[in-house]
Amino acid sequence: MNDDQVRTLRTIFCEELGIQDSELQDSTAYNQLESWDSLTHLKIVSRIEDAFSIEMEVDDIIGMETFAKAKETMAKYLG
Amino acid sequence: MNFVRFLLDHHRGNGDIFLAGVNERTTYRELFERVETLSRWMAREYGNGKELLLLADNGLFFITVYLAAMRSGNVPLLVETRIAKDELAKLMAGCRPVAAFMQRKLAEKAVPGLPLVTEEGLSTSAPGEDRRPETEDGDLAAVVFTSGSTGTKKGVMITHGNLIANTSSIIEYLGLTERDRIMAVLPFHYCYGASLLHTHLRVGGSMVVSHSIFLGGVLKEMDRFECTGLAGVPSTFQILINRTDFLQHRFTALRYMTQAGGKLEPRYIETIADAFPGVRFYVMYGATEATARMSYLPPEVLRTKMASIGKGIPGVQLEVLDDCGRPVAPGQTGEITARGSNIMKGYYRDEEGTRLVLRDGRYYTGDLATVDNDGYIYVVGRSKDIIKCAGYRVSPYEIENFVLSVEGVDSVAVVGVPDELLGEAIVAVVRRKAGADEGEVRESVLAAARKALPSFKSPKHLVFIDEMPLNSSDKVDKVRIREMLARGEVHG
Repeated sequence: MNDDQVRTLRTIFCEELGIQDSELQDSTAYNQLESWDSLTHLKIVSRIEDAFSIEMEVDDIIGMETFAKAKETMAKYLG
Repeated sequence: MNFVRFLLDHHRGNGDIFLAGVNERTTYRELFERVETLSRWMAREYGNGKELLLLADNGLFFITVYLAAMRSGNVPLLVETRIAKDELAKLMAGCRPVAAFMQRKLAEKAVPGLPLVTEEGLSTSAPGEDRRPETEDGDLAAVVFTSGSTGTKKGVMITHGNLIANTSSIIEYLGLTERDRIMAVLPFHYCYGASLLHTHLRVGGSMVVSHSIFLGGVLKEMDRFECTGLAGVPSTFQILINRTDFLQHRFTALRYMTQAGGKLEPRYIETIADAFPGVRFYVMYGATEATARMSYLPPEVLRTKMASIGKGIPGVQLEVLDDCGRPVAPGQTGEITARGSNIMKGYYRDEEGTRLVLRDGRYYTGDLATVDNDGYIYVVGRSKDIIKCAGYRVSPYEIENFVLSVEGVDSVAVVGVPDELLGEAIVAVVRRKAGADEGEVRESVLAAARKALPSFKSPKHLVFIDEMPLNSSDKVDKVRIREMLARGEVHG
């Protein structure tokens, strides 16, 4: 992922989770932040798919439980 | 009879699994012992007839506390876990709880002044005499808080008799047995989720609680744990259909599926029926005020009575009445009313609200419907202004008040529109203050909502309008606004 793509990903996570950029860590995890619930997860996935024009596999959507995992997953799609 | 004795007494020595799944497992025998011990302890600690707040996600902690509270003759107050701390404190200020049982991870929402008990604090021994009282059918069993149209939560008072009646009739029409295992994705603090817990306990079946980050995860879990049933709200099925390979999935043990909690569009029902010819699909209708269930559509007539909610479940007389209280003729519209042993005792500390919906021994649902020549009921609208987003009841009034507090907003109308994933999505139609920048107002409203509101209450779309359309009584005309949105006359 290039810097622009990481920035886009950070923006999506911060906006959907309602947090500041400084609060978003690699370790930020589903169920650790109350705002990151399954409904928000779905919104994040939809926005990622729109922003990067990709369609994510079910197993990847399930596996994206931390921000670090999200970056890893996206690297797979974006190269 | 005490509802928990009705559920558990015959399982005292049962070594079968009740709770299966990845995170937690328990047998009936273990669950029985846990509930026995905790309920004896509660009766000694609190006496009986006391209110106990319960705030927890699906799991053994919820199940144990919920059952023990009712078994001890005390009354659990059930609240959705996503409630904000301030709102919970406000809600509890209007109640009389003597303790709060909360999962450790939710403890930051603890109510000031209210003793807190988390997982570690649950008593595992209760020596001394048994002080649990006898319970009558009419005794209060639980208070379930649900969103009303004004945005204030209403406490629905459910009795032991209500729970016994509704549990028995659901078991009867679904034909549940000890061989059934349900995949539980719906929260237990919601009446539909609670009904899964009740029915499977009573018949000696079992359940799997899913905590998957994404609903797509339940497909594999259902195979792994050989689930025979899946219960969902419209968004459950819409997400599975639109975002996973659900329709191509060949389940190993699935016998039936149930759907309630709002209207699932017929095209989805047809798609599911086509994909799973051997699986019974039940369309159902209910309300917290009726403990959970009021009607079901037998799978045999799913295609011929498409979009119907069916007829009353065993023991419930469901009738559609006109303004004069007479049953409507086929094709006419009236309000759905219900009679039966499952109808609530009333709203908690709200006599006026109770009188409005409980009249002449009937519960007036506020849902408008027609009836066909064979007596099948079709919901056509709601007289109460409520949005059903992802299965949750959301008060537009509450969201309107929130949006109004954001800078640059002059007036706002919040409505629900059909959504491919959520069932209904929340749309805020905003009139800006003179000079306010469209982009800034949009960003402020959406950002504030994401920060302050739980995900199911956050508007999905925000559109601007120059003038709010008004109806004859000078109120914002939401019917007109929905039409304008459907026709694309206003957009973001």
